[in-house]
Amino acid sequence: MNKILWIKLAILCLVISNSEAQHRISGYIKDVKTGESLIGANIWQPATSKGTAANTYGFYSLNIPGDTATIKVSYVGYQSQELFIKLNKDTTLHFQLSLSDVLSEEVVVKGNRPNLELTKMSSMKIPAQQIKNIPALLGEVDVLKAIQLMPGVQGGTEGSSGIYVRGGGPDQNLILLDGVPVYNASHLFGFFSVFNADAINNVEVVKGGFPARYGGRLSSVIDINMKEGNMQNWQAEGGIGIISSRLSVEGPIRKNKGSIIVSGRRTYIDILARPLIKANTDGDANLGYYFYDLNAKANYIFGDKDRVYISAYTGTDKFYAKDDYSYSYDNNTDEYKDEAGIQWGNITTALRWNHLFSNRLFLNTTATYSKYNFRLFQDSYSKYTSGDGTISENSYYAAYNSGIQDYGTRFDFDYYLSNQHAIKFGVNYIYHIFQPEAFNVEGDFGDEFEMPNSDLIYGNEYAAYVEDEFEPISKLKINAGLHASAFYVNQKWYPSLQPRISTRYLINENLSVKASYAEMAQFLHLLTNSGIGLPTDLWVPATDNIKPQLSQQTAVGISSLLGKGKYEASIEGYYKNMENLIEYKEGSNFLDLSESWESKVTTGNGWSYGSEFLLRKNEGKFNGWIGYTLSWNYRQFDELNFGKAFPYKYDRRHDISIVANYKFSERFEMSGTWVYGTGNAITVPIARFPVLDTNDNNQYEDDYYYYSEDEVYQYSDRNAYRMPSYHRADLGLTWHKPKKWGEASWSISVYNLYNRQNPFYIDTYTNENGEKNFTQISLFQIIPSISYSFKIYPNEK
Amino acid sequence: MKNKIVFILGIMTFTLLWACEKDIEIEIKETEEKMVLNSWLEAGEAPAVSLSNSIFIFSNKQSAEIENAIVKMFENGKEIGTLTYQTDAELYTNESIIIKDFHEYEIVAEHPEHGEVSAVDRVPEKYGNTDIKMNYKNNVEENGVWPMYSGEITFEIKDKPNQKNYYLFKHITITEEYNADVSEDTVVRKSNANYGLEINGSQGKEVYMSGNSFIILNDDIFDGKSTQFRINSYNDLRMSESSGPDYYYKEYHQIEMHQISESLYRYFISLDANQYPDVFTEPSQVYSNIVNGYGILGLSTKQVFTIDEKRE
Repeated sequence: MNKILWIKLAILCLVISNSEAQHRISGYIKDVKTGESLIGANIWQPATSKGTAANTYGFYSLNIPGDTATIKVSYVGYQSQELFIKLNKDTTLHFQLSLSDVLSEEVVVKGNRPNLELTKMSSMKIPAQQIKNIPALLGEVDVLKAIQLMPGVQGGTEGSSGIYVRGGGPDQNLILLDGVPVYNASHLFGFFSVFNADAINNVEVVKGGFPARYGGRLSSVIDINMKEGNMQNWQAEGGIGIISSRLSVEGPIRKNKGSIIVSGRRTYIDILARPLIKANTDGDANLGYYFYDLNAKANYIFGDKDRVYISAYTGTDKFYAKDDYSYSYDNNTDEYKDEAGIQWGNITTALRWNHLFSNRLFLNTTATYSKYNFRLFQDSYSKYTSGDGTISENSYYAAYNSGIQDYGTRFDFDYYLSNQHAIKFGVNYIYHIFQPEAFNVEGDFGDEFEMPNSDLIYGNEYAAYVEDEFEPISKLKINAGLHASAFYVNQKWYPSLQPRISTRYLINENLSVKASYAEMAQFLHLLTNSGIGLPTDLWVPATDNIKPQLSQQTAVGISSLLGKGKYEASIEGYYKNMENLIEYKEGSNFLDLSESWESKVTTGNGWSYGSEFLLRKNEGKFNGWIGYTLSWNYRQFDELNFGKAFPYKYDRRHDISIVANYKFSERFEMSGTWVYGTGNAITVPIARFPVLDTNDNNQYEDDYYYYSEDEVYQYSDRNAYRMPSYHRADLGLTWHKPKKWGEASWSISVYNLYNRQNPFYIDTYTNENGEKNFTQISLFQIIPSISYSFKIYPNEK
Repeated sequence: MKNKIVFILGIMTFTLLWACEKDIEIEIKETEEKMVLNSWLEAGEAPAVSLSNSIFIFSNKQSAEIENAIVKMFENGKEIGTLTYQTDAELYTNESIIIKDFHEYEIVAEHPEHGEVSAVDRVPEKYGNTDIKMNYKNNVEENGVWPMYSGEITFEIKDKPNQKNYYLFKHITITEEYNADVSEDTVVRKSNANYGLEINGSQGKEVYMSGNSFIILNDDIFDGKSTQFRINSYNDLRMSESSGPDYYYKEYHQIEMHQISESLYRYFISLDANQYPDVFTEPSQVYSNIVNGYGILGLSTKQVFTIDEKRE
């Protein structure tokens, strides 16, 4: 270990000594029209292929050997810039790129430092515009559903936003919105995600080979960055769809200094459904459902070295049933009000300060707050007024609550030691407050009930990391790091050291091989009883009885450019081991409030392996990708399935996604997707038989009546059977029309084009002949939808 | 007009979102009936075995007792006899065999149609009288209308170290009744006392079955140590007795403490988990130690504590 450390220090010294004769350029890479940071934009010297990528804030820093150089800057969907520069000192150089015109030319990707050059593997970026082009359920563009179309990432059941990455559970994904964890990313019971595509700048998904800066989850990081807001002009963007409408407004607080964006979305299912419900209930019932979300972000540049961002998100889902009536008889009056419902939502806020200590050292300081809360409630009130004026009132309130709150702070440094060394290091602290479940009843009846074990649990999560991306020999690049974390809960410490390494070897300019190893620790568990993104899934911490989840993942892959750089292809194989996973014990039911959650769970292990294939075309009139995953995914719990290993519910042998976009003209484009997945694993009844009679009722003492009339269903091994396979095609057509005030567009999309009845749930029933049958419940058949979108650019027309 | 559009859009939305159902076929691999052997053997008693058949899930047939099987019994690997079918009891028994403490038993049942099933299990080593103590206390609570009686049963167990022990507590109500108008005999009835028992200060480690007349637990929380725990009973457990010239009636209670084999414990636990599968409960298999079949061969020892305090 010491030897390795000395060798590395020697390499560092060598690089430092070499770097003395060099000059450095640094600055920001932005969109020319809006001033938005182009996260991950590439800047490099074509002559040497040495370069770097802009960080999350668009900042880059690059060493230039000698006094002159040709620099190239590129970003997916933008026109590349090439610049010849002369340097006699370190220089600040900002770049502004414009969107490419896909109709006039096929942009050749070759030389754009694609994925094959990066050490990072098992990751992908999806620009917001590409997400918007994908046809969507009821026209609601959905970031998480777009991510589900990538290989290695699976959706749960029909329509759900649940994400299952390389065999992991839905809790093992660190979903970050501007660096703040979002605990429940689902609207409408999981059919839509909470992210409004109009407010999003960039999405990156990391499935493996995690750099050391990431931690806290086992399976993936989904890093979603909100737009910063147009620095130049005020503009508005919005849309009206079948079930919801949205509006975003953005503009400069002060031109080229600060900007703001505010974005909102609300459904009107409740308003649309109201007449239907009233017609079916004689007007008595008032049932409804709605969700809304609101994003806001502002930033201000205080000088060459300082920039501050503040961002916030709030979103709520509410399903409710209300009663409100009164009636009079014989001078008496009865009044009754009742509301029952389910409500859940997230709040996230982040305050960030970017500071440039020098052209080599960049600091981002973040303070975050995140809250997720779920509430099931009933609130009743009745009042009786008798003829003589006597009033009698009664009230009753019952609520089941579950939630989590985080207060966090982190310091992230980017240190550009040389072109051979890009070092990142930082520290992070999160104070968690968990309320796994609490149930209380209050009322005028005298007794109050509070659920046992409903106390808050406090957890302290600490992390520190360091990573270095370096090139020890030509063509070989390594990203090595260490993530150290610890969790303190119920007077117990859980420390964890997680080594991470990713390597890339460039075989030639079109082919590279990659390998990675990452250990991860997760101090939270999601106690889930279903795969449909129900808000009743409980976030619970590791406790003195339940250990943190751990994983070790190894991946190897090949990345290649094909067709003169127009196509990017990759194939990866992985093996992931997971420890200390939790599940409900057999027969446990989350609705059983007599037991605490800890007594209802059992712990076990899991492992998954497979290979993923991706062929992608990012540019040009015709773009899209084909993804295929072949995978195996197992769990083993001593208390489940009699200790035998069993397939995970979402063990999916084959998973295929095809995404295609074609832009016929500036005014008309078409997109389509087709997905196929092996059916989810299920447990089914296979036989029935009499059980041992233990009931001595009315038995004469000396008799033996052992035979019982009671029968029990015998189920198969856990998840031994399969639902029918899942496949579906979606189609979207969009017409754009330039207007005096900007642009209008009409989108028609068809979800489930060939009306496939995909399984959502398999149930059994007994028919009139007393025979058992399986029945499949499907949710969405063919669903056409239409939406209208607009963009207003008053200052440009 | 505006309202009409809203109404139509509402109908469209709900129609499109409406779930649909259809029958599907899932090819079940297990299509043949299997023999089901159910037997709970107590040390000190004669064996009794029930044989029946399982039913394929898609069939509407009824399970039936299997009468013409050959059932052999082995003790510590040695054949000790054959069990014969008793038509009245619908069981295979052999009164000459008595199950012994800490012995291993195997039952092999052979049938021309259903093939052969077998199972092996061992009787747990019975605790001595000093290892288990039971105390009973009767509580009375006056609620202003009538007195509410309840019982508090305290068990003190010296759990055996270095082995996994499984316990089953059972509340039995026994009635002895003589009615000259009905019969010349005294009729003795034995029944599980439903809704009877609950562990005081439960840690959620025990399983209640058969309407709380059973409590099943393992020694996880007191492995190898002496432990004391209280069981509440929401019944008046004292003995009642009445008699007249033509009748006699006596009702009294017994608390049985069984040391059960691991197989029987696992069977009960799985049976409990299997009871109410629904959308929110993962269905689970019923444990079986029967080779080539279903059911259970469970073994236990039993200590019976009779509550003889008489009602005033």
